[in-house]
Amino acid sequence: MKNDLGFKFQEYEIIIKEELAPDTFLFDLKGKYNFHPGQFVQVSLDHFGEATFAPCSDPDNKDFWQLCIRGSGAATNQIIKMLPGDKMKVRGPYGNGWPLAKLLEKEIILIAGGLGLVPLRPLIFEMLRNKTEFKKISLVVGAKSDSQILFKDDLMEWSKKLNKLEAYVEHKERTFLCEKGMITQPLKKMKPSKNTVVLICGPEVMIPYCNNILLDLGIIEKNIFISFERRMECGIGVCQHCNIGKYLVCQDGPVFSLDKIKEELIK
Amino acid sequence: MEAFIETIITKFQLDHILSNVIAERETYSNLLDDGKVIFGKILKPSQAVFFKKKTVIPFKNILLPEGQDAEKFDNDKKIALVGLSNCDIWALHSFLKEFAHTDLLPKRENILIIGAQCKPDRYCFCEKLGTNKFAPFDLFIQEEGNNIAIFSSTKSGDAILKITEIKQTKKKPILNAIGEKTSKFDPLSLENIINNRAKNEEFWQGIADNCFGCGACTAVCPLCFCTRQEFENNLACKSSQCLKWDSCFAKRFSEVQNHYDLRPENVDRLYNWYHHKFVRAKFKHDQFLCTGCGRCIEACPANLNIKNILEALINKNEDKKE
Repeated sequence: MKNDLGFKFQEYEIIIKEELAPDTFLFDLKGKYNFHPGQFVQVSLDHFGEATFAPCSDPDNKDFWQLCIRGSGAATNQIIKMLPGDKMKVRGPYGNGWPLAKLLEKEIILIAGGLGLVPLRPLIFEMLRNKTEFKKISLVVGAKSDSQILFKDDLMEWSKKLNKLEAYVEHKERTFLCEKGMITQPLKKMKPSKNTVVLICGPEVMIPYCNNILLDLGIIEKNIFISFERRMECGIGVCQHCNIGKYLVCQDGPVFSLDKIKEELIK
Repeated sequence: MEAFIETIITKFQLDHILSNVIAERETYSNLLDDGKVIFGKILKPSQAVFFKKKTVIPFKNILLPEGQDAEKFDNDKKIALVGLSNCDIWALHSFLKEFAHTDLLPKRENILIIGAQCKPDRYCFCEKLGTNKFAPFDLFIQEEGNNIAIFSSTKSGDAILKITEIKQTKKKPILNAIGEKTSKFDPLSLENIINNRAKNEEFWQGIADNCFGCGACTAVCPLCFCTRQEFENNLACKSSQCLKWDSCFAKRFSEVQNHYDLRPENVDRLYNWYHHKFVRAKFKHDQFLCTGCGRCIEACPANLNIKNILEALINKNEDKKE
């Protein structure tokens, strides 16, 4: 499916809105949406602006699909005020998503910092459905505080199904399955094998810390995949806002392997 | 190879050709507006001016106007761009190539290109980038004494001349060569040198120290097409999503969440401009986004000269090798 032709919007009706964390809402949108885990969409709100989000529902869901949106800027602060019955203007999906073919038969570590869990969630659904295809799946979640941890119900369920699930928070408020500390702490204790593939999504500042630890553990650069966030203006490889060196995040990403992107990050 | 018409015509005949073009297409040309030459829409042949200095703002405003509604691109309209200099024709082809994967711009077959002999000034350096070769045009005109030599190189160019009943004269005119014969930058080494930022960090810092970061170069460059989106409200209480020209020298150009700027210093943004033109565009579309038109040199209030900068950069790196 070729989506990057132009600015073609489709409207989706909001059926359910749920608060996941302060200022962070989960919108259920009516209808089936065809996307690969890790791809992103552009949501436009008239008068206010456009913003980039990753669909976070099970890609196989035929009745609805979900967007998790945190209000942090001019456009997103208005988008989170939308209510069930309103229609969301969406274009996409864009980008390449997580490299599913490269994950088969491998041990997998997923690292999600804050909202980084959002683009990983569809992948987790898909992996749990085909669990025999993967050797071992571990998930590490990090957040500022336990009220900021997203998808708590899912995490409870996944903690039974995944081989390992660890949640770390910087400020501990009440008890959830999380512990106090930075997301890098559980990584140091990991015992990866030659086959281990790591998928990272989180704030830009978190990524180099994680990479250093993973490389020390002996994971090769080719097996570390990072999903980058940039402020997109077009999403179709024209506006040049989202470049990392010679790559454009909207066209060539948003997921890059570390060996491919390492040289470009310093430019 | 098919023979296309190459002949000498009078100025009256040129006006006749232009009026036929204007009747069929939206026609844009160099024109006089308040004493200045600008590139804009013409309604009659007498408005078009030829063989003058290049316009400050190139054709890019025609293809992607400031404030273009993102949802209302008209890519089916037939347009004619008249009086483009050779470097601008190269730029036009590169511009279309950058947008070829989208359906935002008119396709090449819907654009009639009528080039005109250029008037080089002290800022031009097309020979350094190899764009002094002739770019693919439909028609090209050149001064020939009091008359005009016209060259066709496509069927659509020929068709227009045939409608106007212009025939081949016995003696064919010859296209004048453009630019001086100086050695060209080696494209591969230019790309490699710019790609290696760490090695030339001091050099880039030196340039950035003199650069105001005003973005004048990006405004006049025919191949700077960065855009951002803005919403414009209208009286009907609706809003339209507009594309506005943006400049990569703007401070918030590479900002992400929580005001985290990926290019906080002017040197980062300046380097990004060169990197886009000579590395990223080469990687993505196999072309340089510079035709040596010299507009950015003329526009720069700090007198930075891209030609001298590239030359100095190459010399510096060649010295190191030896």
